[in-house]
Amino acid sequence: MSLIAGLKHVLLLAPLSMIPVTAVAQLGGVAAQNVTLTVQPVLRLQVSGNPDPLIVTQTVAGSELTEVQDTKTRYSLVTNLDNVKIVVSINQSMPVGTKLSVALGSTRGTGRGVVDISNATSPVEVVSNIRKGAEKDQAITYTFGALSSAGEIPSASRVVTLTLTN
Amino acid sequence: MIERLSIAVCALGLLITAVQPLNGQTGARTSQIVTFSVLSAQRVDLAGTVQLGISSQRTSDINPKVTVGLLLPDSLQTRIRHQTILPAGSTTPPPPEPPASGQPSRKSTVYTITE
Repeated sequence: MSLIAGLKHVLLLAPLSMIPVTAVAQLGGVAAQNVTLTVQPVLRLQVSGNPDPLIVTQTVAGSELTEVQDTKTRYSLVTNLDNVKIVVSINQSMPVGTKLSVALGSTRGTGRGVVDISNATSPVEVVSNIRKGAEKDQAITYTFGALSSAGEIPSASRVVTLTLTN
Repeated sequence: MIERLSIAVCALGLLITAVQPLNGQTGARTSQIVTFSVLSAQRVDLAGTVQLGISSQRTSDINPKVTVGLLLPDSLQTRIRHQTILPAGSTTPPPPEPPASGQPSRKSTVYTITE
């Protein structure tokens, strides 16, 4: 078969191959879908780890309260809500004569400064009025103080829970 | 088939309900463990000087004794350092430092000034 003859066959068959397509197009095929979109409230909070042990080893003569600090850990958050806050609680009150405080830095909210959480078995607010957005690697400062009356305290620990909530 | 689909939908609903509080009204929680301890430490810092002077022309006042006393709490075991400057002509050297520990709670030092 020559090239011209083959081309003729193609030209003859081409309209036939278009028939079904044309028929369908003429009948019409419309499909609709409803797409439902929802953005859930997002509140995520993460810490970088645990602070180093807070050990009072050196008392200062003439001073009743001796304090040590840890600034090793950081927190990051993301939220799509306005006016959220971070609250902190501990699982058990601190021993008598000791004091545990925490301060959280914030660029999107209002930090409450150094907050005493020695007896915060119920949550206390440490950052308020956080606007929607993200904060990364904000400072967490723990301060542990001991009065001379506290005496010697062997190693103990508390679970500090940080909650990002509205 | 429909029953199975309903069960699957219900299960999915329960799963969503279980996960949602993490991002919902109850907020996001995370925890840190804070470890602390207070080691035994006792320290006393004393600052300042005590100036004692004896002025007499009478021979009966030769070899006067001046006692400097320091009262400390019974629980303290302390180290006391002496820094004494005697006037010219004095012959009594400053007393030696007491041992580092095991001292009685009442410290006293006797300075004898002679002509």
